[in-house]
Amino acid sequence: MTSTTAPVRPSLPERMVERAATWLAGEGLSRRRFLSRAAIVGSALAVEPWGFVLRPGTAYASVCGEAASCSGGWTAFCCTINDGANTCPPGSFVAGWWKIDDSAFCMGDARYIIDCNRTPSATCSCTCADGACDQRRVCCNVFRYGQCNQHIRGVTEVVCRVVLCTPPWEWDESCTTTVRTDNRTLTHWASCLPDREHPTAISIRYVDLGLAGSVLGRQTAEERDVEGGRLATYQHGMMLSTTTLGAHYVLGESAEHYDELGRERSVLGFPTADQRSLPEDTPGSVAAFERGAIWASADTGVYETSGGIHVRYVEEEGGGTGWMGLPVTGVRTVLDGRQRSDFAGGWSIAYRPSDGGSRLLPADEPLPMDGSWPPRPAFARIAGAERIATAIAISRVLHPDGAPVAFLARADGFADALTGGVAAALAGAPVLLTPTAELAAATADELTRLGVRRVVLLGGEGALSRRVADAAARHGRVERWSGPDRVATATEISRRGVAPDGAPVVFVTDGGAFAEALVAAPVAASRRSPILLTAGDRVPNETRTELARLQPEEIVVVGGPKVVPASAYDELEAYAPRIRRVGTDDRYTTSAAMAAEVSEQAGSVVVATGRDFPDGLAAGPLAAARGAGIVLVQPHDIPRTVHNLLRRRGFGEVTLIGGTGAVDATVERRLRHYPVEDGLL
Amino acid sequence: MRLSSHGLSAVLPSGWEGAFTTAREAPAVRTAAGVTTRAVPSLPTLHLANFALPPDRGDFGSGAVDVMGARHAFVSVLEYGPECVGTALFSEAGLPRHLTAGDFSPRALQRTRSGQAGLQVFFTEAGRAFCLYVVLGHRGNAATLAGEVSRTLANVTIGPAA
Repeated sequence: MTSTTAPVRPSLPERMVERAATWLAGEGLSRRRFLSRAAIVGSALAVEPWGFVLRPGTAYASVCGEAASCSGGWTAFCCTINDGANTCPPGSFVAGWWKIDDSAFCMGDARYIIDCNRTPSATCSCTCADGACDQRRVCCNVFRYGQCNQHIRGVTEVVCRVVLCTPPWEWDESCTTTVRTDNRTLTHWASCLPDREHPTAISIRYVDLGLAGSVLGRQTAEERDVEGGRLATYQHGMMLSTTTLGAHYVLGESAEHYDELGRERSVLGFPTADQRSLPEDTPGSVAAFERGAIWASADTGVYETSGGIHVRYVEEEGGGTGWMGLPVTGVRTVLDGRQRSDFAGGWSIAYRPSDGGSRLLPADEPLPMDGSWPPRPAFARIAGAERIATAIAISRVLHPDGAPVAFLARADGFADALTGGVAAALAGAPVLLTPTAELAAATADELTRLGVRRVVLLGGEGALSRRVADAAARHGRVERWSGPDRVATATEISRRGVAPDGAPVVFVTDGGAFAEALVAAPVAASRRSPILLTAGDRVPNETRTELARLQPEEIVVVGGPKVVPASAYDELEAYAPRIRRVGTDDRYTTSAAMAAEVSEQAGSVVVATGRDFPDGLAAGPLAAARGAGIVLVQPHDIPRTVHNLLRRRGFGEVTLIGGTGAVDATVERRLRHYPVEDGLL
Repeated sequence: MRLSSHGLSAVLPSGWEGAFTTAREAPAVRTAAGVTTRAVPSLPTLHLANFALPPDRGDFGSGAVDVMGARHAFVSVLEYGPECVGTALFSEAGLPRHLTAGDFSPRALQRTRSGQAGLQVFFTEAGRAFCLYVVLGHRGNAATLAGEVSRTLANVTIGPAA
């Protein structure tokens, strides 16, 4: 598109001002003097056209105000001497401020002048500024207003002055609110400052930010109207304003992206806040707009969120500091009109504009072509206020009508109960927890509700005291399964509760940690297999003896070589024709591997924290009863290998064990949204 | 004549006049939510001069120092907020009440004016933070004017905040 504009004849004042300015600037202008002259003329015309015409000698005064010469005795503005920056130059500090009432530039509010004084360790010499008209003094007047940086004692020379519409105590935390006023300096100005008689929200913000010394750098084009607001562009970004939102800036690659999207005409609209850094643990920045945001980081790139996706991302999922991470794609429309954005945490938000519905789904999960959402699993969280209560809650879910047997384990140590989950599962019994010293009242109540006839205590009196046994005896016959140590207790459990007549498969892991034994429990229970223990790099005699009794056809070693070292593995080879290792040295990966050992047709999975043992221990019988595996997660995250399993298997039922202190709500949100079966698109 | 306000008082020598001003109105504070105001303590400023003080003056005497003659002196005693007490800037104890010509400098001025000399001291007295700012009409008369200012300051008393 082209257009033509009729030449505009300069008005009389304009022509006379131009003539006067030529005279003032002299002939043979250098480029700098030419630009200075142009700036002065423009400013003089804007400020006081007829006054300047009638008194051309006052052109500079029209812009820079009274006493603008060096002999006037006042100090120059910083932007005059600091390369256009309305900031304190190096070697100076914010030393104090005064206000000027009813400033036209600040829209009738107070204007503030900041004194930048010489830093005591720096040097400077008294000189005159060489601004186009601000030729006031630099580093001459030894004077201090004194409200700022009061930890610096003494009075030094005022280097220059900064102009603000923002109150100084908001602009610099070191400044106090003690007001000093000097309205006689109302006309003081400089040609490097914007037109003081015709301020805009953008020009005021630019001044307060520091002009060329701001994050925006130098202005590169005149501020102009855009539909609905105003726009100015700078070296490092842009600033836009509306009458209702005020002026806000967008920087760097975010500004470029905003420009590419169509700026204020895009779905984002105008900025509602200045671009800001995200908290330190999330390197990056966010620029907020009327209908979305632009997120930028070196790791994820620069992408926008908008519309319904933005609302869900920010309001429900925590935004840029939440569990989803920053966006790694923009908002894209898929075939059926739905929108979708992917995020660094491996998840997407899909949004359906037709009804405003939205859905979380793994980033690699396609949307069904028929416009439906992928089906989600049936989800339940089973939790009590603490570990004992959680074990009781599991018991109530698993045995709503009671149970003839219950297993009892200490709540604060896993050693003796480590392999008991298998026996409990085979007995159709819950695992309940109690302190060592005496039976927890809530646990006693649960034993009553269950109507048990037998209580199995896992561990010796060091784990569950005689008082616990006595209290349990009020509910049914008490059996104590224990040995001198955890290895011997495991063999006792194997003999009495799991495989009294031998077992074709035996699971072996180390007794020093809890995770591997817990995640092996439901798998072992499904095969009526005991779990035996190694002790570091050796196979203890009790385990050897039990293996010899069991005569297994296969030994499954649970965990990587740091869990069960190669030397122990080699020793185990003598006790079965086949031996294999499942899992790695990472407990989460091992949990996923063990869950995969459960039937491929398993439609259910149990999830517990990998940070502590009680929830996983109590969950063993529940998982076994549902033919499910137990996978471990972190309190705030789902490890990648576990995510992959959940994603691949599409479990129809997900049961999370423990409260939000064990596994938080963001993990729950994810667990609720793993698709049950693959989509078609 | 005696002036008194805000726990500050001055007995004026013959030929001197004085006036108190206070920051009566809190400046407007712009916030994203709109314009609000923030309470700013109303702190006194005492101006003393051996010439007629013009009504339109800056806190540090602009307007007044523009019209003073060679034999004139201008004094401003300005209080700062209680948060300033104990800071390094206000660590000097007590209002300087005995000044000599050597205390004044032609550079120690908010606005340098030909012939004038100034003095600025931040101090704490009676648990209150102040600044003393003095301008002499001409440094050639510094000895005489310093003595005159000293006699005036000797009759300035600072009590606890009212």
